[in-house]
Amino acid sequence: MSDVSAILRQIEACVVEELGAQRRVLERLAAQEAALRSTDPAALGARGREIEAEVDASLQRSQRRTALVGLLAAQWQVDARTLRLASIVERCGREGERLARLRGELRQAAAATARALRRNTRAARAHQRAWGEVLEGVLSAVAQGDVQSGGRLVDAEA
Amino acid sequence: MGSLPLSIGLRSLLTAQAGLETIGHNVANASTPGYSRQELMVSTAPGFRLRGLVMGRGVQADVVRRTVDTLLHARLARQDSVLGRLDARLNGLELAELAVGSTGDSGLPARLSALFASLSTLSAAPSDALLRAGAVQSAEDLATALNQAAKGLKDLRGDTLADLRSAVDAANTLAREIGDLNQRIPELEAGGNVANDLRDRRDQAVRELSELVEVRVVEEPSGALRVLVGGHMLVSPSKTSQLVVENDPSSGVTLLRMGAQGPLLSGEGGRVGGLTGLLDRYLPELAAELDGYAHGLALELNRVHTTGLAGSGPFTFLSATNPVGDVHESGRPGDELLSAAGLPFDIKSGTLYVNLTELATGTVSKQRIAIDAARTTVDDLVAALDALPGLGARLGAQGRVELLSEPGYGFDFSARLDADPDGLGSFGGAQASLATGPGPFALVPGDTLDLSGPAGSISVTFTPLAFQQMGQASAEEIAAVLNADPGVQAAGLVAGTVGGRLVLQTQGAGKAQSFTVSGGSALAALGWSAGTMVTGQDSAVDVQVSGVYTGAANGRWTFTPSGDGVVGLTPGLAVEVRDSGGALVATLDVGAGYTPGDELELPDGVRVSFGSGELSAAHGDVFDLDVVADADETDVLVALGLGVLFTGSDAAGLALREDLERDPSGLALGLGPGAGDALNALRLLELDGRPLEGLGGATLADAYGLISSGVGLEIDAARSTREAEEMLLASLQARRDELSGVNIDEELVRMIEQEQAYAAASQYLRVVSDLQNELLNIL
Repeated sequence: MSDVSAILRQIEACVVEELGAQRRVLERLAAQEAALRSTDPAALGARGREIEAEVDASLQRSQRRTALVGLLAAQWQVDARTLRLASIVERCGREGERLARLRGELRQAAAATARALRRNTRAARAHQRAWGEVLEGVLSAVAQGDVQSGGRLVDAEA
Repeated sequence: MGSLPLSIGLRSLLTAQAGLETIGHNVANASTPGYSRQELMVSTAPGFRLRGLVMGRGVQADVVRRTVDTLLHARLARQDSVLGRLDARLNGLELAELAVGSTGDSGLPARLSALFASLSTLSAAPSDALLRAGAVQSAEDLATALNQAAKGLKDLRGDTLADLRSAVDAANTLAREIGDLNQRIPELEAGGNVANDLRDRRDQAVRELSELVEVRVVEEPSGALRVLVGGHMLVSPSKTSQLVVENDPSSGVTLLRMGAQGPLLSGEGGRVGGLTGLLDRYLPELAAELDGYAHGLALELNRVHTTGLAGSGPFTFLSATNPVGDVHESGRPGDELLSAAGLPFDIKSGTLYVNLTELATGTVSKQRIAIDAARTTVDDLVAALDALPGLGARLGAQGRVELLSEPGYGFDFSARLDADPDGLGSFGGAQASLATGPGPFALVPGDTLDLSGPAGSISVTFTPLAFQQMGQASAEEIAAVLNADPGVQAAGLVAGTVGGRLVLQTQGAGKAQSFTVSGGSALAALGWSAGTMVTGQDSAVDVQVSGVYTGAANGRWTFTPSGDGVVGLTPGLAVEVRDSGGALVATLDVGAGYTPGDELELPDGVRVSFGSGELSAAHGDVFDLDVVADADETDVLVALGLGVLFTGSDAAGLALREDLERDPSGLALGLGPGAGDALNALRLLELDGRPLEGLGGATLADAYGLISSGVGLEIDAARSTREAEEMLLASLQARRDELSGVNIDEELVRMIEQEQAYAAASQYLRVVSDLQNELLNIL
């Protein structure tokens, strides 16, 4: 087996690993979404710590992936920054068919993760903004003593 | 399918918004009384099935729940009721203490001390007009102090009644509010809404109502409340009744009803219960105690004052201040028994002593009127008084007994000793005199007595008509028969009595006067012997009594010689003094060695002297001396208001006798006719510090102290009870606040935590997005 082939197998393994990671992140994001909806800060914190662990793992995978692409670029005597999975699959021909299939699966998984990320990000920002506004209002009222001087009964259900 | 994420996101935002609103609502109502902390309850929205797959729909807000413990709320309401009652009672007691307060110069104890101080000063100079005026002023001040205390209590009752009406109005307002909420809450909740704040408001109204009146609350399945007071419905799901206060001004009884014509309530709790308790029990009882004190004070001071002698001397006219009532409405109040004639003081059986003074000579005769509480009518008393020599009596048009002396006479009721007790002259008198032993006498119908007097002879026949029981004839009955017989008078004789003894005397005095008991069948019963002749003497033995009787009980001492002889000459001649039971009180040596006219000491402050002359035990020489501790054993003078110091018999009506204010010489400070006599002032002073029967055995100061300290003790007890109950309420309230109250700090911490959690989530998501972008870049 040539060096290129060996590096290619290692890149395929990285993609498989990344596919698993994407599924886990997607699950974490789903749990975080539930925590965002529940307005439960404890659950939100727990989900955040789970995602934080995935971020650490993701950074390590990214470094390994960058190193493998660098080795392949050296074999092919090209600039590593110009290599993408798509260009690697094209250069490998038949030898890159499995990587091409894995790449397609990873694209779908990453797209799903990206959608979940966008959704959660929007939700978290909206909640953060809303709570911030309420907090600002309450703190202002407390500072002015309005609360202590007796509240106004509001029929919330009316 | 494409809108599902949007739907989930929107639901999530709405849920978060509801949570925010709930927290904001909690913070806004943190200080609202009765507000219960609310919590947003969320759950997973039910999923739906799409192409065989169950799709989630995110989160949903279910309900905003009040954090309320209904049992704790009910216990709090009961505790509010307990404290409401205690507060009302304590406030009333503190005001009552002000009314009957015993401190300060204007307090009753100070006024009482001032009266006795002025009497003490006056006793040293009883004729001093300025000191008399001062004593009169002190007595008036004392009456005024009691009047003010009574007025204070009366005003307090009026204020308490006004408070009660106000509390009942407030209770009715709250009942209407609960009734209104009873309509709104089921309406809202039937539409699937929650009525947390309305329930909080209703719970608060129930607690405020509980503070006013003890209630029992039952919640219907519909959410409406039934509120019961004393077992009767005040608020039902469909109707609200009203509490009504009725007060009978004459009886003072306060009634609380459910509705104008509704059932009577007997609620003990709440402010209403406390005020009702004050109105119906405590304040009337306190007023009754004060009246009892005024009654006892008037009775005791008047008992002494009516049996004293005024500085102006014996009365010539006296009108009662208390009218007798026509209790049986017969049109003749005189028919009423004295003890049931509506007089303000009780009448007892006993003797009333009346002193009649011949003003020109100063001669005093002490008369006795027996009063039987169960038999003597007003007319009987008036007749007995009217029958006294020198005194007229009548029942005036206003129902007041009026006494008027005949010209040249005066009268009084002092307990003084009779200075000249041998008015009849039956003890060594100048008239020829023969006395029997003590009666009764066993006469039989047709008994005769044959007498030979200085002016002729007579035979008297006794018939049953003149006697109640002829076999038990009294000396008075026999004397009446003899005096009624014209032949006896024509014979120059007259009959009298001394201490149950019959005394037969010549009308004239001197050695020339004599009579003989000739015979007759009555002699055996009378203890006389036929042929007994008695002769008068030129100089009667002058008996003089002085001193002040200090014995505890009224009595009658009988003086008899131990033998026949001449005062100051006959060896061994003595005078025996026995009480009405026959017990020997003293034996006075008046024989050889005794200087006629010298005073001899008898027990209990009485002194007696005997002038020259002959005494005869054989002829039954005798005289009586009334020793009087209480000249009015019956209290009839006090009850009628004859010669009293104070008029009225209760705290509100007590007043100084009207004429005393104008003329302080009417103060009865003496016992004898002398202006310098302050013996009755001393008797008045003895009342200070002495246990008094009219005050249940307490002294004047102690009896009032018991009333005022009783209020103080009630206040102490109420305060300590209130403190204990207040602690319990605070504990219950703390538990309620812990459970249902809003802690602003807690809510802020919750909001900050929430905001920070979202911020952290945003942060994580940004990092993940960066990594994700990098991944997408290499794809």
